[in-house]
Amino acid sequence: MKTSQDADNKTVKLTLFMRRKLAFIYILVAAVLFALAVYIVVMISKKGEEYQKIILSQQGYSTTSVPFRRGSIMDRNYTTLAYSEEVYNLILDPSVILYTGNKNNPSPNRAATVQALSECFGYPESELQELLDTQPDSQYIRYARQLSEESVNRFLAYQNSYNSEHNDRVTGVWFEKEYKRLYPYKDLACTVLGFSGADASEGHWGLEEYYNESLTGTNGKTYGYMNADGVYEQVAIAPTGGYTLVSTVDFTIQSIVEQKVNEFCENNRYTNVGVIVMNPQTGEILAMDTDKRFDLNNPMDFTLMVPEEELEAMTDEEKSELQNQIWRNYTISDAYSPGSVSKELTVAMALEENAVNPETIFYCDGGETINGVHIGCIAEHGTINLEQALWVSCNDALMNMSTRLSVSQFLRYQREYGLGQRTGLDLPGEAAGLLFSETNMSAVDMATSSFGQGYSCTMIQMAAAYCALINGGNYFQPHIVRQILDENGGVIKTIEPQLVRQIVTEETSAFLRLAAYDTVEYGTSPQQAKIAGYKIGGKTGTAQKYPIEEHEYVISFMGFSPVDTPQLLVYAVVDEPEHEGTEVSSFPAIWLERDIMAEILPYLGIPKED
Amino acid sequence: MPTLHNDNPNTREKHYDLSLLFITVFLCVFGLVMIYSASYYTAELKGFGGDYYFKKQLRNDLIGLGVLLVAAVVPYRLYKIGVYPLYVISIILMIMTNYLGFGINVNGRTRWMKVTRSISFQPSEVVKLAVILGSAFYIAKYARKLDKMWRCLLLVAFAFIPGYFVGTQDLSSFIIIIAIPLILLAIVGRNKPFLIILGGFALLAVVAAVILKTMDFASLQKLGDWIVNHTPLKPYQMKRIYVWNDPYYDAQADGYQVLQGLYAVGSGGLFGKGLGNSTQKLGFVPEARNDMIFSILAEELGLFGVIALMLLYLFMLYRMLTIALQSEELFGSLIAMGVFLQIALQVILNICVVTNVLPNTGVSLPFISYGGTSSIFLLGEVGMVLSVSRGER
Repeated sequence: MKTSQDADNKTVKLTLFMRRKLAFIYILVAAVLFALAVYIVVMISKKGEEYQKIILSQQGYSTTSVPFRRGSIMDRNYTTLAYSEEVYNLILDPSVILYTGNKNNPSPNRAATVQALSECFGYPESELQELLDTQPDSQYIRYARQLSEESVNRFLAYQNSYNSEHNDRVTGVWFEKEYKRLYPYKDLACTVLGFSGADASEGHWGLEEYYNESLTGTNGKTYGYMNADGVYEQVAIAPTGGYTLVSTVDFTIQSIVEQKVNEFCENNRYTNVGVIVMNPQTGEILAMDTDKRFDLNNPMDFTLMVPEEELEAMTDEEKSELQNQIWRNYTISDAYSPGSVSKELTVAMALEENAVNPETIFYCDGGETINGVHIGCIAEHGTINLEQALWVSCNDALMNMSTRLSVSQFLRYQREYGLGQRTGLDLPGEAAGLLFSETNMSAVDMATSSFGQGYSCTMIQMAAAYCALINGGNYFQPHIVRQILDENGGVIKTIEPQLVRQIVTEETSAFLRLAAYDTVEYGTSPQQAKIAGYKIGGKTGTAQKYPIEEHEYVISFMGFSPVDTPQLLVYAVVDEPEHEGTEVSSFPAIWLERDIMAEILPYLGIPKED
Repeated sequence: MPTLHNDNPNTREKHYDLSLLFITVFLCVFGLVMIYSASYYTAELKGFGGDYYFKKQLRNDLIGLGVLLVAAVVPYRLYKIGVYPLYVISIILMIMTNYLGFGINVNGRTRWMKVTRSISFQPSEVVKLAVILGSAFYIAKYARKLDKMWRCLLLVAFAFIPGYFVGTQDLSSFIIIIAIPLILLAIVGRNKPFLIILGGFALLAVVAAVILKTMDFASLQKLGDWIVNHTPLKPYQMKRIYVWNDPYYDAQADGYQVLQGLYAVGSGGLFGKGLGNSTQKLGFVPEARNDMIFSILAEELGLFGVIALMLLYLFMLYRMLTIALQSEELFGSLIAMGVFLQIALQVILNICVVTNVLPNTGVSLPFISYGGTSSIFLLGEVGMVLSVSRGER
């Protein structure tokens, strides 16, 4: 066939030389693959074990910890008083920053890394350089703590853009997540809240300490292990956040109290001021304050209390003493003689034992001599009835009353009123106070105890006893947390008011409420506690501190309202107020109590009665 | 004209090289198994379901097999018709991708072209095919005139035009696109100066590579500074060289992929950790189902698996070599040889990158790596070679 022969002639075919070259190419490919196989064999035999170790280490056989978030603390209306925010620690790895590939040469990435740190965070370059010089082989230096997410992101963006545009690198800088405790209202309720520092599993003072276990969560972790088949498996356990506390404290009431206490502190001299605001029907603490102020975000800073120059001049011992004074909660940790406020308690026990009745008449001749010791009254009150004894705060009448009770009766009632023993309030550092015992209580002791001298109790004990006295006799254990919530807001526990015992009858209680109201209406000093439009019940207290010769006093006022069914109880105590000579006025404490109550009553919506 | 085979072609039956078809399918199945293993963790983590990439690749392979069959049935002489249109189309596609906004930018490089919302493909694969066909056509047509230097250079220029567009985005594909016509010219061409220059360049490249790979790091950085300041090379490209020289230079970022790949290959041992038991695929080796799949294969199947894979490739290449040698027409030989070269180059480059013998450039492992465009085009090219195998008889 002609055409096909023509085509064959035109067809170009491979020459032998070409065929040899083709075969050569194939052999070349085979040789290269063989060389690569040999290369891999060498790599496996030389580095295999090392690489396997690296793999296992980077899979995280070593357990890494993921921090938990500490629970928040809220007021009764869910205003957050303490919470934890995500922050970052800056970790430097000098072994990476200084890596050269060849130990004799200067590190190529050092300058860029130091410059980036200094530019983004403002760290002094000299300090960084020195750190790199002194610890070149370290792999973990926690250089800075608690950086905000924003500043970390700024650095990462800088690092990213620098590294893509330049020949050298910003490297060897890591960030570790952590939580920072924040108190948005700084010193608000500082003695109640307490504080938690860098270690989220530790709380100091206040709720942070008492409820530390609830507030603390568990760290999560990630770890790897080999399963039965020798296969690596990784497990991540998420951290569990701590529980949130909902306090009984009302943010607004607490603010009012603190504002009034601050005003008081500016105008008066004293050593301690304490205020407790409670709901008498439940034993809930609505506010609790002392004159001590410190910023919870920075608890070691005492400049709110002491000028900076004085702080600098202090020795370490003085500072630790000061620190203890500032952090402690006067209202629960300090015991004192309550003074005349306790007269209502004595009247209550005498009524309960039928030792007196509302019609009983007393005669005050200005004092009593017991076992040769003369104990004076503040005045010669003459003939007075039971209620009038309270109006004028007559010591003589009270001493007379106590002689109608036995020592064991008196002490039994004191114990039932919760005096001289911890109330079980959910705050740390509660003091017990000290009562007489049946063996060491003399007639003189009995007489002075009747008007609140000689034994000691704490503010919270007195306030809790008073709540019971005026609410119908039901003693509730005072408490300051009403709910515990989990991470997602679910209720873990609701703390209901806990009725401990009935300490007086409703009848006695009603008499005392009325007596307290009349005291404010007709008493000499207590009239200062009147608030226009409201019915207020109350009792002043002025106690001498021991030793008597120093003429230091504790003045106080216990007030409540409304009189029929009390919704609010305010107890204000001023320790060692300023006074002239041997006399002291209880007015400053009454005014403090009145000013506080005057603002809280309308806030709580308690209607005016006049 | 001396030939190794003297059989009269007209007297023999026509039939396909079934060995090549078999080895191709075998490699694809092997690839599917490896993709399933390497991608399961990542797919599960992304919430796609563990077999997501496996299923997609199975679909890709089935489409590719269809293309293979069509390409094999078409007589290869007809491919000549497609040379010029394909060449023009490949350039148009590259321009559309690079300059007309059809490209999809991933990590600052545009290697993908958007077709519809869910379909995209790599136009560089079209360029590879166009260059293989074009080179085969050109060399076969002017085989006797290739003693002229300008004829050789014309072909290089022909490959360079689309190659340039590819090269701005993807250096490894550029190398393959330029190397194929050069090596084909070396096989067929007779212009000695051209061959000498070519050999010289190859030698120079090897020497430069050895120097850069073995020189001490600080000097390399000084050299790098100079290069970045005086040439259009960018710092990120220079960093690849640094990492190549010393992957620990920046173990957490640029060196990360290389190091993790090395850890995987090195820890595999003689027989590997067993299929499915790689630990490095658990989020440590980036691109584990893709360019780095060789490292997972080495970790799971060990040296044994690596050598088995190399033998599979060598067998496939041997079949293509045989088809090239037995083809009656130079055009057919050159098609088979072009496909041979593309596969050989990709395999070698990929393994070299994973073992850090060469700097890190993105090149996939033929028939094994995950990827639609490359699988479909490679299978189509095997189909062309099968057509050549039939055409010889």
